[in-house]
Amino acid sequence: MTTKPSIAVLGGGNGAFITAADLKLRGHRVSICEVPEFAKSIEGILKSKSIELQIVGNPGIHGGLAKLDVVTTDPKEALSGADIVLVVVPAFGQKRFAEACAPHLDDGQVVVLAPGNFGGAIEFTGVLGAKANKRKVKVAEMECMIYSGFKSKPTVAWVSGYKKGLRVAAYPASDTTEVMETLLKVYADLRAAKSVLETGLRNINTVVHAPILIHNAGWAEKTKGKFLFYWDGCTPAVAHTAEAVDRERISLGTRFDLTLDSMLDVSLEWYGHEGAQGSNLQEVLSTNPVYAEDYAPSTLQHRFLLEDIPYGMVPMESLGKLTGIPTPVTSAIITLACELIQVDLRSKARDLNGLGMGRLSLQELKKVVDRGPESLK
Amino acid sequence: MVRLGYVHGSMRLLPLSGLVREKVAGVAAYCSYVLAEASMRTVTVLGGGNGAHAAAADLSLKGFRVKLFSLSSQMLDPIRQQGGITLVDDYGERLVPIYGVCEQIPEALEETDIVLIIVPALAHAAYADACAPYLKAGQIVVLNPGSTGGALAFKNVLRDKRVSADVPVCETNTLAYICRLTGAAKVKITVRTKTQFASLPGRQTQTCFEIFQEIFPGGTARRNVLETSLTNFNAVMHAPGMVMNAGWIEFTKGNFSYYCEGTTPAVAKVIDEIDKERIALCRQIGYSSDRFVEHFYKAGSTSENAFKSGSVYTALQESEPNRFIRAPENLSHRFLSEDVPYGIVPMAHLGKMLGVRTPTINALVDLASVINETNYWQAGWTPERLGIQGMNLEQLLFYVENG
Repeated sequence: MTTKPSIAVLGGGNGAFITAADLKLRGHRVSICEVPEFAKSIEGILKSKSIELQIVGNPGIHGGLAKLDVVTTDPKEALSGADIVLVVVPAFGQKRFAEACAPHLDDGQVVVLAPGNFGGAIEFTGVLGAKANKRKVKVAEMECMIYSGFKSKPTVAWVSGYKKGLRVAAYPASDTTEVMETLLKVYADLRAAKSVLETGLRNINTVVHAPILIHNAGWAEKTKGKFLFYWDGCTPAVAHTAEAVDRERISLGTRFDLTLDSMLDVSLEWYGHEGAQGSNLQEVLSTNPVYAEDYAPSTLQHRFLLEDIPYGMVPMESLGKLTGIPTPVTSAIITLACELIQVDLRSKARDLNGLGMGRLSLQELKKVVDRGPESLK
Repeated sequence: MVRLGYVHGSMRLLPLSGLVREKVAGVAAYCSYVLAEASMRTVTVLGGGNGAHAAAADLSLKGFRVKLFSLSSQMLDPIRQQGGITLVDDYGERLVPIYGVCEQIPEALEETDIVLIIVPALAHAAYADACAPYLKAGQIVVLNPGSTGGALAFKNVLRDKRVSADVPVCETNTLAYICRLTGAAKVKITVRTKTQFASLPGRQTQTCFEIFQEIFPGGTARRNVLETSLTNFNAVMHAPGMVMNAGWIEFTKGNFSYYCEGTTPAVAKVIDEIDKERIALCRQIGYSSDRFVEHFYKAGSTSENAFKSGSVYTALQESEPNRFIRAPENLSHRFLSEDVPYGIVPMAHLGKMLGVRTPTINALVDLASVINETNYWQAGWTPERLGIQGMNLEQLLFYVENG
């Protein structure tokens, strides 16, 4: 392996564009691949292969015109020669990408879900296991997306935030050290987590997205999101709910011997270098320069509910049932979200049941995330 | 010095200025025909807010002897100074003298027929406590309104205080007026509402209802106080909008129209869910209640079109009386502090007792508690505070019928 690993970015949305552009500008070989049914999202760069990365605020990375090596809808082409496969797609798209790349992954490649959301790496591994007969592919996940920003035009992406200190865990955790060795050559600020339970429970989007949106549901729907989601929407009362969910999250962690940082500390760790400050969650969220232009969703049919609930809050609820830790506030948010958007978010969730782990005991679950499903045999 | 009515005990004399005297004369002319027909029942109004002012003035105007008392006595000082209450309604504006503005509860409850309690549900227990030693057989207590479980909670205090007098405790589902204080001792009545009424015990409802109708004609009698309590539509309507607009309210200090803008299609879905849970509770006690939209239409609060659509969203969009009502300036408003602990919390407890699931109500109580840093489950009317803990359906129905 050369000093700069070759990267395949899977996905065609905001995060995938920023990731591909940033890594190309930093000298990696980069391919980007979208599944054929969403080919439209990479149509704009299919010919030029170029993404213009624009910097907003002070994320501490450089912008410029990134000329990618491969832009394709063919996973085989994208994966060929890649050392690291970064899967930068919404949680509900991960399975589709796992299926698409399973036949083409080679021994020694490292797949990193960026981010994993709860259970991402477990689900991905499950698909590979079924399709690829256990190649020696390592699968890991990040706790959150490393960048904050969006695609402003079909060929342009803005980036306003770059998170530091993100945790990474492989599934099983016994692979984490090896994965980190490779991954640190790309992202030097990453840190190892104990297991995918830690990365899953450190996904603090779960703590903020749905609570803030639920408490501003009328405002978002009436004005089509014409207010700043964090700066305006995260008032002291709203922050109480985010903090209550945060406490439930941290309590759940104790049952897995995880000392989880509070949302407040995580925010400061991620964004302190960009000027985030404050002594409580409300203060930090409502003044964080990274969020200066983050408007609220224009509709409630948005990933803040459609993704963060089935891939964040419902798993928390299921861990609560397994561990006996009450999660009333998390459950209240889920219930109201289901009614607001008239979608049964629980039945489609990737919780322990959704991952096929609904029957495991607490000890078995710990064992599986540390040493893989074979450890139970 | 002119006396405005019979004064005894520690009641204040009510001096009048020249201007006020002219106004009083006008009132006398306006309501002379009412006076001629009305009985001279004495009604004690307990309270000092919008509703108590409206009732004291309106009932005085109708010719009843009204004695007014508030545990926050200073709230009545403007009435004492002015010598009555200025009532504003469709007929104009006039000063209405009040028979007695009392300083002490014993005077207020002496020689009275009806004790009309018009205070926030939060204060019911304090008033029950204060009244307990002085209530006498033959009197009736009416909580206007009772929220969800007011009569049960009031009766429970009386029982704790070992009140032996047979005093039925009645409640209505809503306040008898849409009204608000617009100045010192000045109240504007927009609508005289038709309430639903029941007594605890239920077997005395008819007798009490006849008396009640003398003061507030046009209501409907329900079989028991569970029925009136489960007709608390304020609780259904208020909590969802507060919880799901909490950020908007706090950030803009309520600078939007609460019902029209704040009740978006999604928020309306949640109101609809709560209403379904409420109706399931009603069904369980054998009460066929109107749905929210039907009720809202019959109360004159929305259009026929909305009624036909059956949509909560449309009903609130097309609600003329509510069109311009602004959202509360903050979250410590009674839409949460009253309608959660004394509105939906008792519904959730009843649900648990009767095997009716109330997930939406529970979620709203949990979130309201968190945003206001108050445990509304504990602060509100629990089965213990309602005096119905451990009862099954049959026992509960027996209790509300027989006391």
